[in-house]
Amino acid sequence: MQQTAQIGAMPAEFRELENLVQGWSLATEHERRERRATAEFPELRAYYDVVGPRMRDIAAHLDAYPMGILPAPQKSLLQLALMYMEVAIAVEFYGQPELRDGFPRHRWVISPR
Amino acid sequence: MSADESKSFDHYYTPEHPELGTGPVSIEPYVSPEYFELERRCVFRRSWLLFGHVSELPNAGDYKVRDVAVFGTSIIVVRGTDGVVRAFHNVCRHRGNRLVFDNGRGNAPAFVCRMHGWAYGTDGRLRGVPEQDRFFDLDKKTCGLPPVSMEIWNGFVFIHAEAEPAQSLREYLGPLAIDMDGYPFERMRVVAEYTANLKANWKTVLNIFQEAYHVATVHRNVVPTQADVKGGSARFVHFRLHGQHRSASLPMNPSFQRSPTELLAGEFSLGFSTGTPNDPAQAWPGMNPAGIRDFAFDLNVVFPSSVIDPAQGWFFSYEFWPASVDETQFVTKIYFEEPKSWGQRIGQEFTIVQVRDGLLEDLAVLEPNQAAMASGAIDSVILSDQELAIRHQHHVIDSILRTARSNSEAATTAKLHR
Repeated sequence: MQQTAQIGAMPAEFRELENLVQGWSLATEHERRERRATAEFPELRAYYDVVGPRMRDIAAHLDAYPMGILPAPQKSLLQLALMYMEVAIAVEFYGQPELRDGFPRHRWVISPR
Repeated sequence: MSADESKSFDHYYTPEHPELGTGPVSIEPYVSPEYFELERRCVFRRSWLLFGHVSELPNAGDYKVRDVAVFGTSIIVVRGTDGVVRAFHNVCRHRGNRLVFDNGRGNAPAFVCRMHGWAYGTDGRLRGVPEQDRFFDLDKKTCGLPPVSMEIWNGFVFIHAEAEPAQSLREYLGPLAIDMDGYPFERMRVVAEYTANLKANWKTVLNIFQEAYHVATVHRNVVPTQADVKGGSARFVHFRLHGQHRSASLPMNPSFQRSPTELLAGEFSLGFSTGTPNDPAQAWPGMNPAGIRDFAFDLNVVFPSSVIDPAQGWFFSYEFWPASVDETQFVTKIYFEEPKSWGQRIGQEFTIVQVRDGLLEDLAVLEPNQAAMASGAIDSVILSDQELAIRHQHHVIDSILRTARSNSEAATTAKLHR
């Protein structure tokens, strides 16, 4: 499984998200899902509350960059936004990190992309 | 609702197909090893099976390997340096070694046997034989990788066990292909792929995906109200039986309240519950043939075990790969267009997460289902009108096996009288 390397600081307008890069800016769906599943719910709630209000700004910022390889700070920002989607469903739908009555996640293989 | 106003949520579909009956159906097809062996020989070995999508093999040398237990072989599908996609048995012509040991995807300029180094091009031709002069009359031209029947329709790669299938893929798909021809499957790409090995019959796994009756119960956490069209239940409408294949359309709950993130994701991208593709002028071709309002997605079961479910701007597919009567490898993929912006990419992620978690709800109930059916406590299952697709599947497979059994009895009788 692909490992997430330490990648750069935030673009200036997103400095308040900088302390989230360590621990939440993850490169693969597998890593993001594991992160959510093993988090405490209050952590997810806090992430949701901080990142959620900035999601439109993040998309607008990244949309100035062409598709392809992003510079490191923008890559971190993208990964935080993808992580937000993973976190949001737990906060808005489940009220807990993991799905209730779901198939065991260790038996569900997410192919690397 | 434009076409067929009558075929709405209150419509009954089963009575339109009297040959299918309305009674309970036998549990034998789910638990009998003999039944499975007949299915393997008479259904799987005579059908086109979905193996993959062209977006999984974009470049020369990209390949994909899978054990196909129902064919008793391992198959390589590879894009050659000439751009052509071909399928081969994963076996060296020399002494029958496996060429690629692991299932999955990769890229290779050539396949080299790990036992003696015979080397094959991505077009399957034998290119190199170490110490070739020690062999007798070896003609490399006749020693390529053994081919497997393969055809591509609209970006989907299908394989067939027979060297000369009775029908081309296009003929096999028939009206189902006509319904879906316009959908741009080919230009979309796999964005997520999941695999799970289940202790359950392949039909036990498939069945939950060809009815919506389970949605209100199984999906109470992930999609609590999206598909609730009639007082707490989701319903497929416009069932379409195409010979062995079958289709239906699933409407969304028109008064479904989207969550903040569903609305947010819907600003960025089309997706599962994030958008409301109600404008028929905006509707993508090749789906929702009846033009129902609040369309969620179509169910299309390509007999026996491939499912292609198109939606507005995205789609998903299922493959069910049986290994025995109660072992199935389940593979599912989600597809989107290549995003045109990073915002679109971010919006797609919510659909990926939501569909994936929904699948985990489905899968959780299947092994207990199989174990309880195998207990012998009941000998049949009871099907509602909404489970027409399951009833149709029973009918089609039973008919095939009945014909095969009577042919085989006729052959035995003929032998006795010879």
